[in-house]
Amino acid sequence: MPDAGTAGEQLERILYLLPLASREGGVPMTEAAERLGVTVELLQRDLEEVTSRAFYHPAGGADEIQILLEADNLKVYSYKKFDRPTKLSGREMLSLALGLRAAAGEAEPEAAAEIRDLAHRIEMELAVSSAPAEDDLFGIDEGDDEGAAIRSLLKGAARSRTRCRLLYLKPNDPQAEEREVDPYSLVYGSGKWYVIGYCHLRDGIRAFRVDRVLRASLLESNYAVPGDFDPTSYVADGRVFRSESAADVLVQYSSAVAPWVREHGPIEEAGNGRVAVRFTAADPGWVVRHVLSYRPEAEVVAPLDVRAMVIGAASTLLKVDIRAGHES
Amino acid sequence: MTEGISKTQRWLDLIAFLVGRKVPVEVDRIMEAVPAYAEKYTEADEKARQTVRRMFERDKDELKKLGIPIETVDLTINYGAEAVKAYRLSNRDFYLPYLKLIAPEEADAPPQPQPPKAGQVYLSATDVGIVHDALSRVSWVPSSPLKREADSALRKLTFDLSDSYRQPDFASVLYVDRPGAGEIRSRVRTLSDALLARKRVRFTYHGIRRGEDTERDVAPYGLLFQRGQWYLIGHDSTRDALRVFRVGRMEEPRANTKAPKKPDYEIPEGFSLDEYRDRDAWELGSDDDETLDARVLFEFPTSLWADRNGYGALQEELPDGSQVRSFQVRQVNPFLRWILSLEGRARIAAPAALAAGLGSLAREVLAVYEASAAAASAGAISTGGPDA
Repeated sequence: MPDAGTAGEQLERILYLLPLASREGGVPMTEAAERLGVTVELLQRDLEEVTSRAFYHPAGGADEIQILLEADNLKVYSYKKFDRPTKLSGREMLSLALGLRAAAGEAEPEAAAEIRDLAHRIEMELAVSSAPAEDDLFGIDEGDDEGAAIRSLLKGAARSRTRCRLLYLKPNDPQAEEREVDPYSLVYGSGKWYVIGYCHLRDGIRAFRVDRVLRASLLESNYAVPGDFDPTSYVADGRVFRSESAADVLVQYSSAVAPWVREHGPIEEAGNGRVAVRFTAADPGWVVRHVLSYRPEAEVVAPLDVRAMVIGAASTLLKVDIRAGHES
Repeated sequence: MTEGISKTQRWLDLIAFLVGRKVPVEVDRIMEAVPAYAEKYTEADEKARQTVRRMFERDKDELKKLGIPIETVDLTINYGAEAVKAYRLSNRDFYLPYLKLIAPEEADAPPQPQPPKAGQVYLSATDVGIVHDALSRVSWVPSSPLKREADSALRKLTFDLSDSYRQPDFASVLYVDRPGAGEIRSRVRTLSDALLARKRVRFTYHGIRRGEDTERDVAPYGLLFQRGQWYLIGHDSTRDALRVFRVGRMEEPRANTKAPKKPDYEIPEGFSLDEYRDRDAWELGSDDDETLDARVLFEFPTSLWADRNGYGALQEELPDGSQVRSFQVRQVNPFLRWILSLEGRARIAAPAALAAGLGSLAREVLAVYEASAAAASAGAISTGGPDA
């Protein structure tokens, strides 16, 4: 006998599949499986749970369900029963309330109030009446609250395939640069947002950190995403990296910080409790900042030019700054 | 022959029998009509009848969790002489109302009788977009404990809408899972079930600072996804204090299975998960900790980035575009680490002691590189580096 969780999931699938197939013309099994995120074989097994009721149920009842499977197409005649999905369950409403609360938290006050109204209306009209959703027990914080408006604009642009103008600040550049970008995809990785898209200034696909986008606006032209574009090809070991011209940087960490480093992905043992990580980074500046954040507990082993960048950055901090008025 | 009736079939039979009936149905009739109950219930054995009744009670509880609320009604029969329990599953509680999409120009004045007709709910295209985004976020956030429910809610809420509202938008937004995300998902799911049922959890926690594994017994108060990680906030009975645990450092969290319907604890009234969110490492600590008012000079154009991200509060803008920004620092070390990572484009202007601390760190970093360079010139780079 399947356990309760499995039975629950199966019942939920059946109670969605029956109304879907009750609509005029029925539904192709492949489409139903795709909607439910399961295989056609699994749906066929679910259907057997319904059809086999005929073996033990008194035949001919007015509420009996008729199921017709012709080739791939499923039709259900249910005499006004099971012809609608069920209302939102407590957990479904919880997930919606949680998502809406996160959205309201990022929105301007007026829009936030509208989102809260929407959440309340859905809870009253579309969810089963029970205890209120305990969405305040959960929190989804995607960071960059200040950049919510920029992110929202970029998401909308990626959906509507609208070109954008970004004011982008690369850490080592003397000033921010205007770039026209076709935002193919917004990517969230390791706690940060990136936009991967075609940069018309650089004439190639680039990944931009959203927290370095100082301003963004929509342009009046659209673009098409190349058929072979795959955002996951810009991701390795849970990290997003910048472009195809990525270089390897070898970093070694002391035994004091090794436990934290081990948590973040693949490492190589470097003896005496030390560990080493090979980073793929198009922008070596990223590795420099990362290594510096570990103070003397991390060191760039190779290449030499990236070692020199770390030494340069640390030396800068020891120079006298006239504005700050002292050696910092 | 009912031996082969699965739980799913039993539930379907129960729902099919009850849904849409105008009047509540007495328990005896349910027992006779649902085949899986009927076989055992009709036997003369009272004990067997009680067993089946308990099965029905459990079914009712589980169905309620799945969003199928079978309502219990007290009925009197025989002209008031006898009180019995009866059950009802109304169409209104069971079926999702029809969702009608209204055009944007009608959003302010929906074409509907006021209040909306029962069984029909109007949503604007903007509403649907917001709902879509909200559910996608909960579904896609790495290791989300509510992924299944968020997907299912989206399926239901777009049931009446055209495909363009239903299609998930995988291509334009992507959440990257860290290695091992599947295992984290199952832990977060266990913890969220325990949290919602207010059941204590036990787990082995790998305290990374001390490098020790300790057994913890925790009353979960909240689950927070932040900076790409899930955290459990709860009362740790082994420490008798509120603690934050990184889910990635737990092993096999197990919820208390005794008395599943009875909560083990209550979440204190004043507890708010928001207090744990969106804090930088240097802001963590208790309210009693002394805070340091630090002034940081951000060079132009890094000043624009600090401003864009709300780092500190602007105190002064210099003619060259540099900015002095102030920070309330509770934890000095993470603050200095962060400033150090800005590659010299931000430096501490005050207080002097903090600036000196940053200088010391920079010297320590340089010393490491000098030592390994010296070792390399002696032909031993492989033994250089930190710890060498």
